Amino acid sequence: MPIHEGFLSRLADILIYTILGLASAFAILPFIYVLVNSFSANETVFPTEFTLDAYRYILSTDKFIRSMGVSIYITVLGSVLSLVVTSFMAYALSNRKVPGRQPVLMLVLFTILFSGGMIPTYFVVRAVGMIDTYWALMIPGLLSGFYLIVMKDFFQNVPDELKEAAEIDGCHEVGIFFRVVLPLSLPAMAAFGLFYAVGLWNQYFSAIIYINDSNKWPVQVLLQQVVVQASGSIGDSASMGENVSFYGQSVRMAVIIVSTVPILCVYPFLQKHFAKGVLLGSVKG
Amino acid sequence: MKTGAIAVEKGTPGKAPFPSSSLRKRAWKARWYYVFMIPGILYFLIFKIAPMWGVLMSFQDYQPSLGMLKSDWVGFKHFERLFQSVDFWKLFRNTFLLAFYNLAIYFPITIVLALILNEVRHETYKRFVQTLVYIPHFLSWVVVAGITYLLMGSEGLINQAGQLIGQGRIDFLYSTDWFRPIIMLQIIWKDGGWGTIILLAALAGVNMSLYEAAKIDGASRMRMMWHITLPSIRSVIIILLILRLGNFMDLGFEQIYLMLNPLNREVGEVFDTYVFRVGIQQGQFSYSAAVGLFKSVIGLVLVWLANKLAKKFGEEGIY
Amino acid sequence: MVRTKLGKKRGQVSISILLAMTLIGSGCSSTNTPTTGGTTNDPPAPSTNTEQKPDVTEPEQPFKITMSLNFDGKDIPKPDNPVQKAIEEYTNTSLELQYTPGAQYQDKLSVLIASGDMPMVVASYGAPKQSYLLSAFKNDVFWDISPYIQEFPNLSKLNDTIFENVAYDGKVYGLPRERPIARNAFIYRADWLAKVGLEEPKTLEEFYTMLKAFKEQDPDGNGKDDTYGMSMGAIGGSGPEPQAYAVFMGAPNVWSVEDGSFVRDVFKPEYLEGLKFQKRLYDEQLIHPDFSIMDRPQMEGEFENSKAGVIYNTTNVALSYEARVMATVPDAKVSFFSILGTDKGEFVAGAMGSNGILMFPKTSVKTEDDLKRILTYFDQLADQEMADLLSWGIEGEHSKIVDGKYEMVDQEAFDNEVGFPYKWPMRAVDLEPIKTEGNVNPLLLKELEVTENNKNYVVNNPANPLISDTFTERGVELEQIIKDADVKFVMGRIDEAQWKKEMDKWWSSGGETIAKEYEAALAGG
Repeated sequence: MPIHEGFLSRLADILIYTILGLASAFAILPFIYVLVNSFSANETVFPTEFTLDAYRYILSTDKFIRSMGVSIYITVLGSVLSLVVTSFMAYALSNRKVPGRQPVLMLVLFTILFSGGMIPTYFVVRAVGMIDTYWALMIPGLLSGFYLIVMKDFFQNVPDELKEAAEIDGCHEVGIFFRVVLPLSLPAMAAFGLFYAVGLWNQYFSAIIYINDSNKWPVQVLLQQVVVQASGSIGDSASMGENVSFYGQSVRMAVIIVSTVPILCVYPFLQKHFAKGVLLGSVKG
Repeated sequence: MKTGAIAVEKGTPGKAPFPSSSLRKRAWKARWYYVFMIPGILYFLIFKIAPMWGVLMSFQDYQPSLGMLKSDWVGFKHFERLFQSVDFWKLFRNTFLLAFYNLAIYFPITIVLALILNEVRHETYKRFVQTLVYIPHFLSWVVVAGITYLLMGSEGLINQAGQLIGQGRIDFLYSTDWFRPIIMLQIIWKDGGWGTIILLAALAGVNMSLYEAAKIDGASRMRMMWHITLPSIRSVIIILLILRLGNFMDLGFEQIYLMLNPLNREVGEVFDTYVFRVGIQQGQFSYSAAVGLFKSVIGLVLVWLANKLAKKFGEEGIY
Repeated sequence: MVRTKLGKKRGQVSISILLAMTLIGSGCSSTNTPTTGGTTNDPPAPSTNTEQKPDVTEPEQPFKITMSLNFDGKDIPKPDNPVQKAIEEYTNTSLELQYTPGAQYQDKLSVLIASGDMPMVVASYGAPKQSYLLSAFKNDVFWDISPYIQEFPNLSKLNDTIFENVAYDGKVYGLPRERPIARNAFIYRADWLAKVGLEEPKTLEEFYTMLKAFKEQDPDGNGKDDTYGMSMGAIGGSGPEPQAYAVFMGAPNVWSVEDGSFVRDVFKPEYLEGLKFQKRLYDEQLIHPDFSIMDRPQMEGEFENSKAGVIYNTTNVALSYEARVMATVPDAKVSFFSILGTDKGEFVAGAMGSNGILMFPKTSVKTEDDLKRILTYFDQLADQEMADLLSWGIEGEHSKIVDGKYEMVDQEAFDNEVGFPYKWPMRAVDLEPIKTEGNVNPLLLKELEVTENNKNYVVNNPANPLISDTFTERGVELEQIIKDADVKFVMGRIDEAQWKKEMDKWWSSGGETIAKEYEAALAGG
């Protein structure tokens, strides 16, 4: 930290801290509203009654633990797979000396712009035998062209001197990737890992389409069912009897909490990789 | 801009470490890179390119029960229906404006927020703020819409407060004037923090010695931000911008759908909401595909133009 | 985890798999008869089966039926639960059920049809007459069951109107899941009504008086002006639609046939009157000023939180609303009515009369015999014993018998273990008249009474059984013109003349074609 600071700089600090403080407050208030209402008997800005019924109701489903496990499994394994494949390909594409790089990039861009749609993709997933398997939740979205191209850019920004230095030290392409590029790109890996993880965690539609066996449902599908039933928007099937009492509103709120908090917890662990100075250390070392 | 580590590699084409070798030789030298590429390329070929025949649905009356081979080919029928629709220009205008605001307002805000966050020197406070601002991303649009009603409804908090100070009721939710600002506010609130993540990752890679050198030269924080920080993440910003143009016409369907009502449909209906109601909900696959293809073609043109422009200014672009 | 232990465990697992495989293998080779087909994984035939149909002389292999069904419950039960076992035993079947959440069922259905990966029974659920379904009908993907219905004692009792409404080109490509033809109701707070000293309204004017009293006479007795008449959602969403009032006032139900030509209700003066009634409610703030943007949960929240005294929905959810209101107001009472009379008489709008259909793909149901066997299964579900199982669950677990009458002991367990997974998605015939009577909540009795009574006053939509290609393709787009204009009129953004102009726009941009197509369809059929 610098020792002497000008008045302007300090004023800027105050301004920055205030703006960010306000932004954080705005960001978190609605979440608190949701959280508070998940414990409340009726929806209101200032709830009075505290109840755990909504959470009890959600946890009373037999398959809750199981589907949570499914979601964690596909999120962890899926994002690792995605990161590995994306970073390998991004690394290869980041080297301008690779012949044929241009057409591959065009191909990737083409897949960002155009899409075949739901039914053709289903045919492919079926043809490779993934229907009703967890792979169907991880593989069809394995790679995002968007992330791939941005990651390629990150890799290109790793100074060439470092790569060349490693080459002189006797590293070949594979070694350079693992010893130089990857360690220097930890912030990027953390960011894209988070993106992939969130995408995998939130996926709902693909589970509906590809998974027939309800034992393999991820938690989002299960929770959506809970919401649908709790909100009573079920038309025909509604036959809730006299001795059922639950709170539609709070169940909806509790479902939001239950379905977001696990993935929210990932961020603080990744956050330390956004720390400054990664590059500095390695250049000197 | 020859200061940054980034700038160093800009000059590489001239260095040519494999001088005047034949293509085969160069390819052999790069063989390991091909190995690295294989899984990814296989993925794209199998899961992205192979289903691409679905695009042809737009020229058919695709019926799931008949399949691609037996469905009737109808040429440009669906495109004619789209272009001749009385609402076409309205849809185009609404989509274009919202997409443009998204790019011109939301995107710069994420950059500014990332830069501000980068200036926070108190590590704990920085982490605290970062964690909080990205939370809204995890609330669904349904929740966001619910909160908007709570705040901006006819009897919402803002109108209640307004009545206390003698203000008349404002019809935020029905007003054609307020529709776009509300949509933008929602996007900024929900994804403003989230959008900084990639930029912060890029900022984490900035060479710290540059700052130290600048500090010795007596540069102010503003100058450092302008001359060191921004240039270091310039290429990421440009890549993100170009890629966003590729999906320019894709707006958050759910968000807009939830905010639409008969009184603001005039400015609120966009291609995505239209195709949901008219195409997808009705199981009209071909029409939906045609609208999708139209949007993709616009994206293609924009990306092509943007990439060309970027190259003109000495950037690498995305291909 | 110690490595050796893991290895040992794995060894055990593989041995038990091997064992299981030989068991299955031997079981199959001894009992499998090639004629029944598709019974590779069947459990051994039940030996102590007392419910076998009398005409079966020797124990027949259970018939395997695979189904894809919409699911609106919370938990999907394990296949070996006692309820499913009881159904399988009675019907001598083995069921393999795939459930898809109701809201996404249509997406799944289109994929199923496209891929041809269809089980033997496929539900169609949600908006009927989707173009891809109609084309599947046209292409003979599913069995036409109309020639067989008469053979089945229970299924043949289904109302003709219900079959007509789901028919395509005179053929019935699926078994309708019956529901009351007119079941919409105004569900209201009976405790509030008593508080303001009124009787259940019989006419539209009395209804208006009731709503006004709910707003002005502080029905919740908290001394604050914080209640209003009715919670209603966006037109085209939760209703009541202007159509509902228009029908009360003597308008047709969407379409009427006059001298062979189709006339749309919006061109009838009664429709405008219905709209004006809604406008009156809006102007006097008897409905929420933001009604047009409220989604269902918000709108229901208004009723559940005792802000509004009336909500419009179907008769069968009244009990659930009561439970939810009682969560905060323990002594709340809820009741409902369907018909509001006017000087024109008493009418109520009729609907499809079914909650989607169960279809039988020809790719998986290969022979006529198999089809009949499956229809037998659905016919049996309306037998007395099955009706009781599906209505009362398992005695001692979900219900008990007191003085010869059933009584539900655990409604929630029943809903989760019987209602959502089996009763609602699978039963074709309404079980209410068949099941053994029980001591039930008066609201459930009223439900039967009201829906039964409604049959006498029902006005049907003559277009329900007909197909218009223009409507199939552009119906939603066109209806939006009417719905938007209706909301704008109710909220006072456009006047009568402007509203009429919008109706003319609807007519010229496709409404007329739809009317002509219905006309041709009616003449052709």
